[in-house]
Amino acid sequence: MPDPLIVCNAVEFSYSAPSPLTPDPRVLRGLSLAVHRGEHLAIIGPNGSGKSTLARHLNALLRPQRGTVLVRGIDTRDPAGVSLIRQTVGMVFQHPESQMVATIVEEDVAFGPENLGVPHAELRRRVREALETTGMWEARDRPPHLLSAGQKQRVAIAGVLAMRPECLVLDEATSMLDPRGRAEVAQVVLELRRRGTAVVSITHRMDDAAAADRVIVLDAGAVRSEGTPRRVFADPEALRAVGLDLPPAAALAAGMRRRFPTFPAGLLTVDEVVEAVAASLPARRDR
Amino acid sequence: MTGDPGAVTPQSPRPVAASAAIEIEDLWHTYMRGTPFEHPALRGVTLHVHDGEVVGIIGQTGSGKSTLIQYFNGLMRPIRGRVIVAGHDLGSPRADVAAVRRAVGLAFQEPETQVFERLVGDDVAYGPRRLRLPFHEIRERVRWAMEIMGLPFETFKDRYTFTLSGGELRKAALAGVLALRPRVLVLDEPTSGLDPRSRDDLRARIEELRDREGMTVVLVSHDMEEVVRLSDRVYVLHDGAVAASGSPREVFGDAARLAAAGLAPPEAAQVVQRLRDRGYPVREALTLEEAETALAALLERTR
Repeated sequence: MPDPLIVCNAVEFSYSAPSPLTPDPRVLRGLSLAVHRGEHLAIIGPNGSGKSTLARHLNALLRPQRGTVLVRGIDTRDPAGVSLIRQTVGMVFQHPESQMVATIVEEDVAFGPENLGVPHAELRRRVREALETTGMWEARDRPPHLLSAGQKQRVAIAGVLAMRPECLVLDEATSMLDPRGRAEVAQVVLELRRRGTAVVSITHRMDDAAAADRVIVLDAGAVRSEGTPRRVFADPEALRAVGLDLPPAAALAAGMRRRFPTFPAGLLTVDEVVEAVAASLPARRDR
Repeated sequence: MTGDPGAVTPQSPRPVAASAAIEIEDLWHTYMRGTPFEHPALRGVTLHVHDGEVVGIIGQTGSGKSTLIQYFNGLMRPIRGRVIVAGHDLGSPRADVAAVRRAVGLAFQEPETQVFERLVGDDVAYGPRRLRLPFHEIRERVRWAMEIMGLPFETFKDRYTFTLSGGELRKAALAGVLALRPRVLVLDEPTSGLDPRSRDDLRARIEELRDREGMTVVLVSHDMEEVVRLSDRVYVLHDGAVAASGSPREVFGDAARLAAAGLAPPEAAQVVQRLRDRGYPVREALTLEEAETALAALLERTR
């Protein structure tokens, strides 16, 4: 297996010094994990588990106080490497407005690469590709503030994609979106995976996490467990212990399994549960 | 939980008071009127909120939900259509907007960003103090609001706000709105961004407000599980108009109409509906618990 794209090794971080109120203010407590090239990794955990702090370590917005974060082998504490790291790992946050700068979609997407000094012809090609990947090319002439929340979030993603990152970090990027907006962003993530861009989704939505290749559960600033969604969601008690739960369809499947021990384990989606129920029934009677 | 599903009859979910807390009739709203970006946000919305009921409002982003709730406490005044809140006609230039704002407590998305006092108790007391209520009354209101939000008064009143968790801070912010003792509480995405445990806890608090206090609540949410669990009646907004309304059972039972508005029933209900569509004799279900019972009955019967 090639080297991971990002390696976090025993990372510790706190925002403030210890005080009588908070004797141990560490938000990250010896956290270690890797992000592999081209994978879709979901990071879940309760509020305060350190998810967003971790996200900000992945492209050197924050630097570890102990331990190391290496992006393509470059230590994020090395000031000379920051610009390359930020081109390698792009971030999109919960509120897309906070990272929009221009009055027209196309100009907003061009802002990042333009500042990198990308030549004009290449710039146009990148902006077009980024807007097509996110399905926003048709809206390129529109002012971003008149778009829907899902569309704005897709423009924010396009702005990062135009920098040609190897990894896109979505920090709660779908938490303010309606079901359709979430589906739009999920579609973009699928497309990115097809093109070999790694995606790290930090999310409270267990159904979003169920769509990833790999899930990492954070609790109190460290990795509590990790594995395929099927493995992680196969242990509802462990999830509940850290204040998480199952995606809704998986919760229904887990309930069925409590009643019928022969009911299949590890089901995650509506489709899977429907098929499992149908399969455990004799051929249906004609209506 | 909402209890026995059979107890909810589609026509009259709960006894309804004679006068509505909020009456909206044929309300229209256009943003940036007279410019090339002119776009209608509300097109003839009619909606009633009766005292003591929880009304869910669902719809895609851009369907008009946020515009609509700004009419509920007089942040916007009707140009076309009728808006009567707590008996005050907001179309009249002489309407007592201050009274309307006292009657309707509006909790915007992420209300914790508006917490600014150092101590939790002071933050919750901010509104009642501005109403110049007597000291003991302020204290009682703050105590009541904090207790009902699950922040025990004695434990939390002297806590620094910055030491609260995300879920606790959200509850403190909502307690601040409740302490105004509004006739109607409007919650815009109350649980978005919370982890599952804090989310379930806050939902249980809202349930308690409904069941124990008989609070009138308008709930705007993208989370269909939440809307099903908490609402007596639901309005579906689509393109600025009411696309459907009724009990959760009526609204979520009509999957085609819901899909046309860009929405889908809760996942558990989808599983049951898909099996029904394929001809399996399974009882209709809306919540996780109902779906589990219905599927268990199906599997038992054919065993």
